[in-house]
Amino acid sequence: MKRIFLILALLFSSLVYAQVQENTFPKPNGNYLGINWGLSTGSVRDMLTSPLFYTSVLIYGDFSYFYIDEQNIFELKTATHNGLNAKLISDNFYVGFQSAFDFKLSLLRNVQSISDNDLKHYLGADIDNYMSIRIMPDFMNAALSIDNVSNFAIAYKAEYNYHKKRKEKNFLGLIPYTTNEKFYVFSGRLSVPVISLYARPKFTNPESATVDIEDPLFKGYSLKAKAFSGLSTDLSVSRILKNGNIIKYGYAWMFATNGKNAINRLEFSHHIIYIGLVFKFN
Amino acid sequence: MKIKIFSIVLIFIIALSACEKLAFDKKIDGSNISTFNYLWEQVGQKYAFLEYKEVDWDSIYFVYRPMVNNEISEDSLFNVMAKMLNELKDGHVNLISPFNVSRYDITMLGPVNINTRLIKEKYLKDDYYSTGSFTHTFIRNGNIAYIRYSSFADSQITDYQLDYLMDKYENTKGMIIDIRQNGGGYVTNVPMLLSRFTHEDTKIYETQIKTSASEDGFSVLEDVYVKSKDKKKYKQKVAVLIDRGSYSASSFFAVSTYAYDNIFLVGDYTGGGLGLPNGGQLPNGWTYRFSITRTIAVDGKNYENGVKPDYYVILNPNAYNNGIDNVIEFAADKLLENNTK
Repeated sequence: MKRIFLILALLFSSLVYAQVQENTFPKPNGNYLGINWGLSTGSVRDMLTSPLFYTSVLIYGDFSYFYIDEQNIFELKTATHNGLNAKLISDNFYVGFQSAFDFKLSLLRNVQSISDNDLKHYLGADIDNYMSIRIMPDFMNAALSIDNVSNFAIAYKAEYNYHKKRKEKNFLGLIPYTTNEKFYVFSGRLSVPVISLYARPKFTNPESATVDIEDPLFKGYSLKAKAFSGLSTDLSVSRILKNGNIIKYGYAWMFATNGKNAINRLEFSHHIIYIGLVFKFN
Repeated sequence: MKIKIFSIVLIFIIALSACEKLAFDKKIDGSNISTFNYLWEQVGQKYAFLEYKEVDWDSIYFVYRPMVNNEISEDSLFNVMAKMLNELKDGHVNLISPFNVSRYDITMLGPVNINTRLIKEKYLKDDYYSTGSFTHTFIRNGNIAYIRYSSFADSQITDYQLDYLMDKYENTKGMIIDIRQNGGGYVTNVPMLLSRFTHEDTKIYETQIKTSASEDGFSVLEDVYVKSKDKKKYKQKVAVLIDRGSYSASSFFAVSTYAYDNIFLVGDYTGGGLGLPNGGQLPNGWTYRFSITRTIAVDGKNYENGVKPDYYVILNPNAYNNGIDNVIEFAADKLLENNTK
């Protein structure tokens, strides 16, 4: 009996002495390169070619650089969505192809008066350019549409830092084990385009598969400014690793419309679920 | 407290993404009446030739709308809308459903002006060449090049093909390009082919697109040029044979020849089709197309109803029995006449 107690005591004490010193997780700070990929779905309606809302199913990917310090988050991101737009109506299936490219520059500043170590609020601005190319083979002469939207937006971001401390527990009160220390950042971001510039066909869309693309392309295009014509959000959970790298899971949503009364109205949205890896390099 | 604040922020952001449909305009219903009205509106606003063709589109609504209600079958709806579109008398206007495609047959506007069997038996014979979409041979004892080009749609013309033709027929006294019954295709083939008949950049026509619903709602006229390439050219005169079946890209080709002193047109008027068609969709899913641009020739005129030949020649009804295509013969005579020394 004494031997059993001695063994258990030694085991317990060895576990106690095996307790790792709590590491301090590096707070996000410095230069990072990130890559996200996921699935994007949404709706698109281009009244110049069709009055119907098409459902888009696209593969999403983005590549970003960002810099973080106590005061600022600066981000440069390029993203792409590629896939299909589809519509089922009266037992008939119509399919088109879409590629979209998004380039964004963003600067957010910590609002220190309302932030603390755990919950931070950022305010800032985004400049982004979104270009979309759609081809509808079902339309005779294969309707080709190219649109470009440039935005200046005000952005808000909230970040909640959650530090899950290392804990020692006992399974059924007998077997001790420890849960690892983890560091998470939960964030919610909202971006409202204050002013957007839409470049798209004004009234008719002459793009066609049978003509020289240099001739009709951009003829009949108009450039129109719209205020508050869209919105984008981003919710994510980032797990900060001990080496400073980050694993990220997120959901983003964006929509834009050049106006309910616009004769050439374009309405589209993307819901994106993504997973990402972010590497700290400095 | 911090968690509460953060949760409120998250809930607000999530709620916004649920409001997507509020941001978009309402859906358009796909009923028969809605579909008919939509098509009529689209043509009325965007078709490029209503004024040119003197079509009273408002009156046409009152003729055809009473034939439509939400109870008629798809077939009946299609027939009504197809008949309405055929009032435009335009081969570039189609209504496309899963079960039918409407069309206006422009070849019926004029007499048959080619007999392809006669061409094969008496002109191309057995030793013709096939280079890309061009079927060609020598006629008139090797003095004239005869090139049958039956479709601009088969494929893109290449420099290699044109180099071959220019080399082969370099020493002939004239060239005939036969585009009778050529229904059109890639308009990009037009400048490609024409570039071998000029040594300088040549303006071939002007084009403008519909930019608003008003009758005169067109963009400014844009010049369209053929760029002269540094490639082998044909130095003699060229006769282009046309008829009512020469449509769309063929009409573009024919009207472009007005800019060239060394090319003339022989045959019947073309079928027209000098507008670029624009594809679209209706609320019930069917698709349509019609022309939303117009073309102005170098002489300032609109030839949408047919490009006028320089020499109006109609095929003799007994041509096959006689073994003579009088349209080809007329063109060959003209080419040789111009080359008499």
